[in-house]
Order: sequence, then C-alpha cells, then structure tokens
Amino acid sequence: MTQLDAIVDPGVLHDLFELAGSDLKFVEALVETFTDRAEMLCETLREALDAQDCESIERVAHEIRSSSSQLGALRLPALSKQLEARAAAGERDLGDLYEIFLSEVRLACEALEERARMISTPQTAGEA
Amino acid sequence: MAFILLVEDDAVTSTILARMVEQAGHQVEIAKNGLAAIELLEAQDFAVLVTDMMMPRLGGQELCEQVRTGERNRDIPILVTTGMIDAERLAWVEMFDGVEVFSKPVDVTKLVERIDALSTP
Repeated sequence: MTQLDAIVDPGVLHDLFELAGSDLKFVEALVETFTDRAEMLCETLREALDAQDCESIERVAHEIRSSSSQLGALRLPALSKQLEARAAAGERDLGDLYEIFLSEVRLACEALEERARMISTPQTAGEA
Repeated sequence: MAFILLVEDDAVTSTILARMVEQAGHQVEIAKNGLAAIELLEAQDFAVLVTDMMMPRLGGQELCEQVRTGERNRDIPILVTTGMIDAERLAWVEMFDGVEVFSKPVDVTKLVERIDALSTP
C-alpha cells in the first residue's frame, strides 16, 4: 500500500469516473468543490474552536466527514468523526486538534488531486 | 421519469447523487436544508424524497415529521442518508412508514436502484 492509498481509497474516484460515463471533468469538478469548500470550512472551524462553539464545531466536522468519505478519503473522515463526537459530547477545549486537522485536510486535498490526475494519465507498468 | 427531491447541504454529496439520479433518467430538484425542502414539497408532487439528516434550518428528522403530517406529498417514500452510527439517534425512523436509511458514504448504485424501484408504478 502506498502512502497515497492510506489517505484516499484508490477505487472510489475511479468508480465515480466510470459511473459518470468516464467523465473526467465531473471528477475534477468534485475534487475542486471539495478542496474549495474544505479550505473555507477550516477557517470556520478555527473560529468555532476559538469561540468554543461546540455546535459549529460539530457541524463543520460532520460536513467534512461526509464529503471526504464520499470521495474515498480514509484518514480525514476518521479524524472528523473524533472531532464531531467530542464536540457533540460538549467538550469545549478542542483547539489542540486544529493543526492536526488542518494538516489532514491538506493531505486529503493533495491526495484527491493526485488521484484525479492519475485517472487522466495512463498507468505505466508496475505503478501502484 | 420521476421527480426526485434531494435535500443535502454538502455540495460534494449532492453533486454526486444528483448526477447519478439524473443519469438514471429522473429529474432532480435540490434543496440545501429542510425548510427549502418543505417549500418545494408544498409546491409540487415528487416521487421520492432523499434527505440528509444533519442540516441547518431544519434537519432530516424534523423534515420527515413535517412531511408525514403535511398535506401534499404526505406518503412520499423517504430515503434518509446519514453518517450517524448511533442507533438511538435513528430510532425515530421506526415511527414512520416508508422511511429507509442509507449509511454514508452513500452507495450511489444501491440508492439509485432503490429510487428506481420506488418510483416505478
């Protein structure tokens, strides 16, 4: 398993590509939608953590979990679920999680972009 | 062709579901929250309602309650998509007829198959 495989399931974007009739632009648009939205949500999360607003933290974590899992992300949904559960339990002091969360969001975005590029690029022999 | 109402505030999920449902030959209306969905349900008939659970301005559970007590589309089949794994938080589904749960991430093939089955006379 490559490092990329540990961040994003290799099959999900490809399955979406095929289900959409081999429409690469559809997949690329999905990834772009996710990365744009994730960036905005991280800012919202930062504000919610600073304000110790559990409801907002839970909502942001839920949305990131939902959309990232639908695109095949693996680690980010698990981390989002932790954050969501802790916020739902009323835990207010969650600021220490922000940098880890932001890092994981960035990794997921990069991995999804790479997965989309791999769909458009013919596989070379022996490539994972 | 059937009219399907999709209620989902996550743009990625709504884009995927809408595309697959349209490819199956149906027409899709999208609402980003329960309140917007109520307005659409009061204005026209739909064959199936697909709704997320956690949304701002009226979530999935409250939407289902209002639909089942409303005038138009009262008996519409409802497919609830949710990432919740807590059975207690989903116990309310048992209170209503015609409500089914699909776990997230949604298996879009199975969801479309179910929509097809429910919208076929």
